[in-house]
Amino acid sequence: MTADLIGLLVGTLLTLLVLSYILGDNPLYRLALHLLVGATVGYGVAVTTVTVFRTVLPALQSNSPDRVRALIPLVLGILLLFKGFPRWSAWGNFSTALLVGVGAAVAASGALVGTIIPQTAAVGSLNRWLQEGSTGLINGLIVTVGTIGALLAFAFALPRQPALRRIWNGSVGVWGQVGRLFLLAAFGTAFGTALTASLTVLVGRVYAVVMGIQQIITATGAGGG
Amino acid sequence: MIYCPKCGTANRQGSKFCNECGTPLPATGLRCPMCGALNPVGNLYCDHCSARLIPAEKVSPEEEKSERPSPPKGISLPSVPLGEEGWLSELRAEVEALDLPPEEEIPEWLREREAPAAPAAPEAPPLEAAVPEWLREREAPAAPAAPEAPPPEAVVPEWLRERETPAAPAAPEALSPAEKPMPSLAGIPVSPAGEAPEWLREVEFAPPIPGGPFAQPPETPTADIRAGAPPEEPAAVPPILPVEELPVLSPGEIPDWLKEAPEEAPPELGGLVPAEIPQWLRALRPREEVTVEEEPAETEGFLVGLRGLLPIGKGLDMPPTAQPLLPRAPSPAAVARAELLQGLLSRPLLTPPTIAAREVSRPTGWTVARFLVGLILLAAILLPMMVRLPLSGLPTAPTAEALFAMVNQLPGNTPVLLAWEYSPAESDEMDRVARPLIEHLLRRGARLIVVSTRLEGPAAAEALLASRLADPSERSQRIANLGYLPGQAAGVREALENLDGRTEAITGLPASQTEAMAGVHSVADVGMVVVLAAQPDDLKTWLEQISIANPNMPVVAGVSARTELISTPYLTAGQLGGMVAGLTGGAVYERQLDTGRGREYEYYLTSLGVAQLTVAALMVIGALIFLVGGRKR
Repeated sequence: MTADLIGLLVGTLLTLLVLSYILGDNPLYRLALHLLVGATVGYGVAVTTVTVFRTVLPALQSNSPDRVRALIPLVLGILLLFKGFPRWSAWGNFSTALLVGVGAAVAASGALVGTIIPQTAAVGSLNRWLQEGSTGLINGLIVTVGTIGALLAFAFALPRQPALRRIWNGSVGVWGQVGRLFLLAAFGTAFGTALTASLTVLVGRVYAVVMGIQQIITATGAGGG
Repeated sequence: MIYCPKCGTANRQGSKFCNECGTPLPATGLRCPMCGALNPVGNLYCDHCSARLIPAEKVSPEEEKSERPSPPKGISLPSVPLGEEGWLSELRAEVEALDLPPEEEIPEWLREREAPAAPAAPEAPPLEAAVPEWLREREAPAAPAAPEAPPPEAVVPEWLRERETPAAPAAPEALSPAEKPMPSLAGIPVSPAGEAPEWLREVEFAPPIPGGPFAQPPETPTADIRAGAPPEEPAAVPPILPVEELPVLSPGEIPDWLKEAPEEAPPELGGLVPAEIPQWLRALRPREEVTVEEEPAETEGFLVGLRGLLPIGKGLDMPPTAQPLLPRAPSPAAVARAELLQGLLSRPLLTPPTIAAREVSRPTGWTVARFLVGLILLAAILLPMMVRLPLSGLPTAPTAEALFAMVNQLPGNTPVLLAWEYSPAESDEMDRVARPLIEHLLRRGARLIVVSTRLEGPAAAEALLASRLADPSERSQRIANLGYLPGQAAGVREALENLDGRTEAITGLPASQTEAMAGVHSVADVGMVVVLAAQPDDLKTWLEQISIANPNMPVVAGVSARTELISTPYLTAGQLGGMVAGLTGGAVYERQLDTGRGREYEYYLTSLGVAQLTVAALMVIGALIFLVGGRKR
């Protein structure tokens, strides 16, 4: 019995254990769950450790300027370990601040340059709509109305003056109701997408189990024969 | 304020001399009829003896204030005589209606009396009008009422003005001796000396109050005083007791006749109406009839001998003493509550319910329903495997076709950065998306540089890549697995700018020393970036960081059906050159690539469609069951 066959057998067995949840919470399902979580965490720790040391150790052993450059993250990482001890946790504050600050700055700049500006420019590009003809115009109109309506759906303030309030309800209020319809459609689409993804995984798992059983039977028959 | 009669300067209340010219100021105020003390104008009661200064029947303060005009300059006395009753006003009106003689007809003796009069202004209303004449004269016998006081009727009570009322003996004028006629009656026609006027003879007199100051014969025409009889003609004056013979009253003392006078008008006696005491005079009588028991004197402490001290309040300054509870038998309800509490305390501590216990408590029907749903889903998924259903036609995916065209245009040996952003748990779908794309890239001779922000990503990528290589020995030339990128967005950013600074995950060699990384230092050196993302956030992270590192870099993606919704706007905006989305996109790409695995994709798509229809049907059935029967719960 080869390693691939053992892996296929274990995988099929664990899949069946997970699918046993259809009968409710049971020890078999719990066993599969614990194995999955434990293996994931253990594998993650191993990968992280190997990755860090594989990156840092060669740099420290070399005589190049990378040695100094590798020393800084190493010291910061060691200081971060003090976070595990309440008495010495303050030593890791600087490392934590550096991680959070740099991460937030990179994410914010990327969101601005890579998402907000390009998406805004794309949605508001009249030339693109015109180039695509009537379909593009309708699509652009729907996108514009839906985007602004979704924003106005969260406008809960009202002007104090009765006249302005009537105007507000007749314009912003109606547009906000239209925006709520767009939100409902978006949420429904998101739910349908999530359901499709789950069904896809289920189909894949069922197919894998069927194929695994077929291969096991084939392998067992071949070995026995 | 007291206004100086000479210069008109306003002086402080109580001043005796003018601050401007030094002129003696008239003493202003209300003289108490009982003790004679001078009280400030406006006092209702005497400051010394608490006797009432103004009759109780007086108008309300508001009415009095509204009717009272402002005081004239030069005197601070009230312009309206205090104590002026309705009878007085009527009398005033009656007198004014008479044909009064000119002022020259005032007797000589009356004119002489004007000299010692107080320097009060002639127009000043008589303050003494509020005080009974007899009292005022007794207090200051040497200073009779100012003769210049014009209103003579101010001292004539109602009972005297009405002739039919035999109350003349009770007139206050009776107290005045003969030598002190009422100058205020100067305006009334004078009868000849020694004769009573005709109108006065007709007056019937009531018997006087015994013992009172009016104990004179009823035939005494006291009204002669009104006639202005001179003092040297006592024969015309009834035998009224002179002032000297009147009992001297100390301040606050009530004359005996007033004490004995009944509260109400006495009943008629033998057809005669007894003398009536005017209301204003009756009101002046203190209510000393209410006898107050003398409080006992203090017998101990430093206040020994003092009376009228505030008694020690019981219950205020003494702490309450608790009443001792009498022992009694507890009620049956209290006994029952005590037994219940004791029973609760004696019980063992409750353990938190476990998950298994909660599951057991679920109804069996719930488990059966869930099992049935699971079986239906499994049947729906397995059915296309056994029976070929005509549900799945040839799928179309323009984005996948566009991506296929882009990959076809890649030159040979082009380095391609492959971001592997899915784990083995998502490989059932994502492998069928990534596999045709990777196979196409390898066919085109591209060098694949693999990185991942997922811990399991490098291993999953290695397994798939190795299976796609036609010759495993080509791996070092075609594949460089740079492994896991910690730090999320920051790790991606760092990797894009420093690809050759990493280590190959499988061989452990520096990336710069691998053949697949030849000539590649950063993302700018690759020909294309392929993102294989099962989650939307992973795709966004890569697209955003590539937009910063190299905005012109062509980026394509293979995503799950779940991520397709988020990926479409990037595709529309041009940030994505092409995309393979879900099983449909993978099937299209497989068909374009012609790998011969179309039956597998057909099964997948058919099973997925049947499963979706089954789920929709189950949701509708569940909603109907809820509407029909489940709502009762």
